[in-house]
Amino acid sequence: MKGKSDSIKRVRKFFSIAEFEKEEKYLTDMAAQGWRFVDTNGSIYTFERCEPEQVVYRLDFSGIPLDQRDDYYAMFRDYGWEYLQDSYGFSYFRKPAEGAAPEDLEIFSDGASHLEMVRKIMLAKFTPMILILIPCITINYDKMLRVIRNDSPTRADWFSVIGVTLLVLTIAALFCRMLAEFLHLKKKYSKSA
Amino acid sequence: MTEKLRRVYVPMTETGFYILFCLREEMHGYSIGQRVKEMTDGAVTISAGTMYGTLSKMEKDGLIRFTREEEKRKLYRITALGEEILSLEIERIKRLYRNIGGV
Repeated sequence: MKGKSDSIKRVRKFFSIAEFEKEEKYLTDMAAQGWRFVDTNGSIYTFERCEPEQVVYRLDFSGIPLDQRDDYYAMFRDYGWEYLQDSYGFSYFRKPAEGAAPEDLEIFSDGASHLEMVRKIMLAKFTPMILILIPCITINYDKMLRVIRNDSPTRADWFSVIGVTLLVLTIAALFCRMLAEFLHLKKKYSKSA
Repeated sequence: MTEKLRRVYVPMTETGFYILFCLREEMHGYSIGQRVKEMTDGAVTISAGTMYGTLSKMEKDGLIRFTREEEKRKLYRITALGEEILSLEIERIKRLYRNIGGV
């Protein structure tokens, strides 16, 4: 998808909450191809033309309220990270990579703190999902029961069942991906430890 | 010291140990990271997110306390409880060293 001019590119792209590493790599690769990340609203990524550059992008999920982050940003700035923006709880950071030691291009230096971030994401994202799911099931309980027992269910009953099932499946799928990411990180760190 | 804190902090990660060790002096996160790099000839790196998370956790658990702010950076210092945990760790590491034939 092309933007207004050749120097701006807008790409529609979706990364699930478990794909933050993939997203980091995508932004890093785009910069290497001469497209510097400008911002995202979670589904559209805006880039501007630049000389191909060696930078890395890192996403943190700190859980700190936006108005209490002065010292958080200050610390990342001290470490050479440029803060770009926040989107859905993720903070985007960028750092020049040329000549830098690989360990200086990470925002987590041990497994425990990286896993802690995944735990924060899971807690922050799945709690509201479960809170939505519970009333959905409670409200539709009678309708679902009629369908399950085949007690002359109406078309509306079927819609409810399909709706709730889709919701459950979506949350379950997301949860499995998140769990896979969690286990992947766990394995990665136990190997390197 | 509660049993829970002892379980969490003894034994400690290398990151945790160095942070607590450095905070016998008042310092902020990045300066701790730099100091640890020097002390270990670059072998131990503590990244920004790990540093921030560990400091927050140690502050919450009462091992260190926030002393003052300097250009938005938070400075911390070890507490009496932190000293107690640190000395337990130092004793443990000394014992380890003795047992592997060190002096």
